[in-house]
Amino acid sequence: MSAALLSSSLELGLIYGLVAIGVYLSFRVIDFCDLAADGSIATGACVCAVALKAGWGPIAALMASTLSGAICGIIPAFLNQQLKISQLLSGILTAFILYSINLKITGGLPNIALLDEASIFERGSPLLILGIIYSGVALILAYLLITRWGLRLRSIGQNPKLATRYGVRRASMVFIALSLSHAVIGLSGGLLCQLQGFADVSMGIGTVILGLVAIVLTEALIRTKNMALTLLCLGVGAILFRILIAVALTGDRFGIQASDLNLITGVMIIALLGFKTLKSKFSEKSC
Amino acid sequence: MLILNDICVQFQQGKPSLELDKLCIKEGYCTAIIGTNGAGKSTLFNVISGDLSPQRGSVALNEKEISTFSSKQKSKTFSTVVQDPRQGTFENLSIFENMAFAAARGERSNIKSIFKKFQKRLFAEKLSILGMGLEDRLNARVGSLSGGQRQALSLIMATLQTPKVLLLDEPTAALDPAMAIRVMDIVQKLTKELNLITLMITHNLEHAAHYAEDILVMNAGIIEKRITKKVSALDLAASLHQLAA
Repeated sequence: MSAALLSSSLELGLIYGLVAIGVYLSFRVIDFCDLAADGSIATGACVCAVALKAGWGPIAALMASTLSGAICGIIPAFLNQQLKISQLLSGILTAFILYSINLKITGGLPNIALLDEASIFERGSPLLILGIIYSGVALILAYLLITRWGLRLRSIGQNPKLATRYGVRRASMVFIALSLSHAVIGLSGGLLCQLQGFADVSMGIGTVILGLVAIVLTEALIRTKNMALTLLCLGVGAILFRILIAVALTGDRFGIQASDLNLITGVMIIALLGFKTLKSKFSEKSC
Repeated sequence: MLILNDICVQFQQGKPSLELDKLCIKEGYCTAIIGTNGAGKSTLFNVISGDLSPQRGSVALNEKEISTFSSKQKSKTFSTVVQDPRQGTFENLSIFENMAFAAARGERSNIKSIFKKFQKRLFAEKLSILGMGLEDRLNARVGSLSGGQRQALSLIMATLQTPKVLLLDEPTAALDPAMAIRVMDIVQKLTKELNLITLMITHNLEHAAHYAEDILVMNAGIIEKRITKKVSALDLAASLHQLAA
């Protein structure tokens, strides 16, 4: 594996580590099966590209991506909490709607290429910059989870009935958590746009799965139920996944092509989850 | 003092699910509610906690109507312990986190860390009442505790921010006899120490006879009998049998 490939895997791993943090907040922390990340990452990227084209600075463009992601998060929360549409359908509908909204943002263009526009990665090593951003976001969110507010947030995912009995307002917590989740995903969309130099309205397809694979890998590696610690380590799972993919695709070693990426990803998740189930079944039998 | 006045709850056309003229319950007493399934025990609980609004009548705590309470006030005033110990705790959180969550009931949430030394001491002190050694296992996951330990923990959590009314819905139904007695001893102790209005639905007539100073015998939505003197479990069984007949 070449140094350039390793470096690119690490960079993409850190960006998808942020996606994993967003997905973790909804899927694990508040137990909300939200599939809208496929749309909100593209929204983050499109908003970033349009902002850069309009002459905004790279940091301001990233802030706009984050804000646009946070707004995207309100949609599935509203559909589920106010209109009582199921979690899965709320997420799917949001991703579906966001495709058209993203086209509106880009002015009807399927993609926007960044040519001479400024990028945050011009200021130093992309790996270092992404490392700082990832660590900052992960540390802030991990700290939030161990505060009184974070405890209430976790309570609605663990035992919603008990949480309500103790005066926690589930609806407002879902709104805030999904906004936070998609804000992080929107930020990762902006970073992806600035790193790759383009934004595409359909660049989000499969984002939730990529986030989930990082979560499953991290949980298999660190084996803890401590949410704050898991959240801090999600980047490790995302980087490991990127490296595995890079190794698999390098030099036709295993006869795997780039088009097989989704197949490999899917099989990897099935293997990890299936192994967990088979292992617990086996240990039950041996008892 | 909790006062229920002229209450009527009717879910469907026909006989009301709950109907009572006047019921006063004093602080510092444990009141047991016994009766067959469908007697109206849970309906009475839900009316008292404000989760169910009766079609007629009022519930007042210290002369203040419960229907006027905000959800925050309600959660601060009423504490419930349910039959299933898994429902009364957060199994993937540590004992400390469960306690910290309960300690913040009815208060504003903030973004200060929950890990504070003084709180650890306070929680350990509260848990030591149980005599189960939980005070030395503050970082243990609640999922690793036995059913009895979890039920005892849920009881401590329910009374950590002293409520005015403690509602116990068959709190010992899922416990073995020895653990059930231990939990009931704690209920009795907390009721006296914290001067709580404790109401307990139970099918365990021995517990009702031994621990409650006041027993409400319910049947078909009404309180058929109120027993305020010491009786035996056999007397209670006879009363229930008489009603069923």
